[in-house]
Amino acid sequence: MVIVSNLVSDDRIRWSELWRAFLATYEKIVPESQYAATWTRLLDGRPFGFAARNATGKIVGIAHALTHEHPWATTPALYLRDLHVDPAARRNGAGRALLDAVLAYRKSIDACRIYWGTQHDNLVARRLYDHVAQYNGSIRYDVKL
Amino acid sequence: MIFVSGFVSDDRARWAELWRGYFEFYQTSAPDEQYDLTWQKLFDGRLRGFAARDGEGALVGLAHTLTHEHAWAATPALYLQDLYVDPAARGLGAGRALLDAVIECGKGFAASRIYWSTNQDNATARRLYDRVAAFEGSIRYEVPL
Repeated sequence: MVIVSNLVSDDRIRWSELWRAFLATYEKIVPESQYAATWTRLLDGRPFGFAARNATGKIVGIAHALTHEHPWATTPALYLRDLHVDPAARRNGAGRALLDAVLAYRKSIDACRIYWGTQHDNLVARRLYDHVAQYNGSIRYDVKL
Repeated sequence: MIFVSGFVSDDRARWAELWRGYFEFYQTSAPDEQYDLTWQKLFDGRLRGFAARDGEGALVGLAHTLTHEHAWAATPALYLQDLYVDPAARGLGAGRALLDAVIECGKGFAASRIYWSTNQDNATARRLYDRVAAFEGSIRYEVPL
């Protein structure tokens, strides 16, 4: 049984663990100062944070979503930036519960779009995403900075 | 000779023609009110516009960018949402000039990312993009509304 709620101040340590693990899957290391900055933004709702909790209340997954302007529409777009479920807690529906919560949030803010990126060869994630969303051939280019 | 500048109010009619052309390429359309709103956003800072002009100053291409918070970094990300060059003015370097201006803009404020999307089958666009950016396997999922 997984329940999704907001992140609250007491979640700081466990959230850091999960975010660190998420970033590690992308071989990405961010400085400690960024954890503090992102945590402050999450408590401020920018990005909006979601926590999937198991029956004991322990966080087993997190999601971060942000809104941005969209030139094609009157309302903002919602971009699900980060989604991570503790490998020890997989196959319990936490990923799907987080996605469903993000979709419900989209409705509440009337976002014109909701989207996210994933690696094309991340077949485990794509199996889940194919249930609730579509890949229509859109690929992402990044400038090397 | 192509040069890139911002938009000025006299560009409104020609900008709308080009943006309409862009939508037609994607077999979509936007209501007239959206043109008004987006034009307004281009001037109030919610979006940033780039105008490619030929030697006579005529608009031949446009780009629209937006910034958004990035959970991984201290500075915002720069997202190039729309890029379009008048088919009658292709091959003159307008697309490349617009990309260069967008990249310079992002570097100017130390953007944490500069990125955009395209369709995997758009070989013409991808030839250009491959020169200034890289596709690193990230694909985009979107929830149909």
